[in-house]
Amino acid sequence: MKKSKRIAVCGLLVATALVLSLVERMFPLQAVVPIPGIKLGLANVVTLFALTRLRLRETIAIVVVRVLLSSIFAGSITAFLFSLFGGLLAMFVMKALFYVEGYWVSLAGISVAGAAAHNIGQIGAAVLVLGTADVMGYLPLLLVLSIPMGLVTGSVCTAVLGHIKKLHFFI
Amino acid sequence: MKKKIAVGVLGAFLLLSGCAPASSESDFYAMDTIMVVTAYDKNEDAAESARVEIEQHINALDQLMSRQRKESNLSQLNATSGAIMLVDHELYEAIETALYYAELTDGAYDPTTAPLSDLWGIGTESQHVPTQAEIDAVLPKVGWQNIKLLGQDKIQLLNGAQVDLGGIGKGWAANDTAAICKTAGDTLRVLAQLGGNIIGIGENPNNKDGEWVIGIANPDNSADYVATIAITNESVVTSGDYERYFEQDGKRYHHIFDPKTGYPADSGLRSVTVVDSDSARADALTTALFVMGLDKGMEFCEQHDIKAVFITDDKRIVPTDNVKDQYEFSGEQAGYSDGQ
Amino acid sequence: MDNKFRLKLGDWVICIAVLLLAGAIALPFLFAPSGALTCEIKQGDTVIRTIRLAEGYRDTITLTNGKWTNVIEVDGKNVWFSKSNCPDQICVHAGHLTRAGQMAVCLPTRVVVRMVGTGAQVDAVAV
Repeated sequence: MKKSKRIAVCGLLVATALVLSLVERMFPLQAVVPIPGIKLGLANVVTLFALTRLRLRETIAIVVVRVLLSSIFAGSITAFLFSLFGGLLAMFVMKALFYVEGYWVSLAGISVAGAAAHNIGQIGAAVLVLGTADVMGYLPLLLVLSIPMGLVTGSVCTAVLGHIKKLHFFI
Repeated sequence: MKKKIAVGVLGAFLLLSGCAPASSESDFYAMDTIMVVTAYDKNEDAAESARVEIEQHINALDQLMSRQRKESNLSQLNATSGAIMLVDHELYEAIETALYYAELTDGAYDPTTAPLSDLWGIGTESQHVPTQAEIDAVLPKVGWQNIKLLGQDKIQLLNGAQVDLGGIGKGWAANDTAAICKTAGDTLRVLAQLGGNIIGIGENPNNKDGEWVIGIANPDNSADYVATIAITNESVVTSGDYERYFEQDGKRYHHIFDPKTGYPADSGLRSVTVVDSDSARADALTTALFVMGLDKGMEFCEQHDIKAVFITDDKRIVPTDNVKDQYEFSGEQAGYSDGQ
Repeated sequence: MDNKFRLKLGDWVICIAVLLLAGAIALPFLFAPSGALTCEIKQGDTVIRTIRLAEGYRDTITLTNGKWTNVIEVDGKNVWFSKSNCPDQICVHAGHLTRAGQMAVCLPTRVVVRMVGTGAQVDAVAV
């Protein structure tokens, strides 16, 4: 793939991730986890997709730029840190699991592990920022939620990859 | 499989958003205190509109009944210097209610102690212990018999009397809050904290028993509590010597006056709490029972079936028999003893 | 790559591992139901600070309205008005706030301090 095409794909993926960040604001997560800045992690689907098609350093760039931009649009320093920790941890965990992908593990499992890692990263950042381990109390609930979240993002990613194959649009 | 997951996820979100009814909360300043009103209803608009209506009504009552506001109907009455005045109907009713409790308690609650409050100035920059001559000069103005209700909303104040509804106004406002809620529908639940007057209307959505749990303040640390009362559709009102007071020569002078002596009531009590479905009744009776003291107060409660909790200055907390199934003692750590 | 969405053995293992982790973290919190405690400091309609209280946290907050000034101290899970030059001193008389559901107010400065938390045993305190 040409360099210019790669950059264009990165830009498209960042834009998609930003839209997803806006969509997830509509879910009333604050009602059960009253820490401003904690997110469900819908944008992880983009990370997952990028890992299947792009290099690691490009994927890192997408995560960092997405987190930076979404925090500038609407967010605070704490929200930025939560998303950065969560986004990067999710990415590394998914990257590691890709080495065993295939017979034993599918995209669904990788995605669930990524969603769980995303929440662990966010709460880890919250513990550091807020200086109290009390916020760990919200982690179990977020972890349970990460299973349906991960299954959804995993199935979305599988479907998208399938369509791309049918379209003969290889990147 | 995909469909199942989608349904599951959708269900989870519905559960998240639907587990608690919508609420609307605000705090505002009225009647010389802070008020916190929280309304719960099946949707946010309904909760919000009920809360706003309550807030507006309380502000209107404050405009009518405040002694501090120069333009209020009550201030106009206090400025008549003995002339007969036609007052607002709701103000007339409130004064009529105040006089009812003054008579019932044989003047232990009295809506005319304002000249004493002004003389002592407790809680203001001019607070001081006045001389006996100063008190004697003021005492003739004090006495509920100085208020003459002439019917048809006409009132006359004798002997320079001044009416202060501070001891009943918040209770009056709480009763009006309950009335507003009644017309607003069954799904509305409200917790209104009008200074020391608290009223819980409908079932508490945050408690599986549906009760509102109200703490009774620790007189030595009034943000904390030493006992709790569980209520639904009732009001809890506390009066104590610990909020507005000053100390001089090692003696504490607080804001609840004995209308007979002109001094702060020295009855061996730190606070009195009354639980009643009528908040104005509870409001007037806390003051009266505080002035009466423990023994006389307990007897009075028995005669009139009043639910009350007394805290004495020897750190005993004494509830009346009829409140015991709503009452829970929790003041051990703070050094209080259960006087049941 | 398999384009059909079908869970494999490893996927189940991951899901179960996440659930086990959730359970393991939840356990200590179930046995200590006090929950997180937050202190909200408001002046008029503006929220000045929201502090998640924890042992070791210390802060001093000074708020002014005209000629009246409050000093609010935070030490671990204790919050109190340590000083005020207001005439009624109601805020200072309120003493220490340590539990969810408690509130202290200074009327002249319009400052409200409230303790908010999941483990509240009271809905309000009658003072």
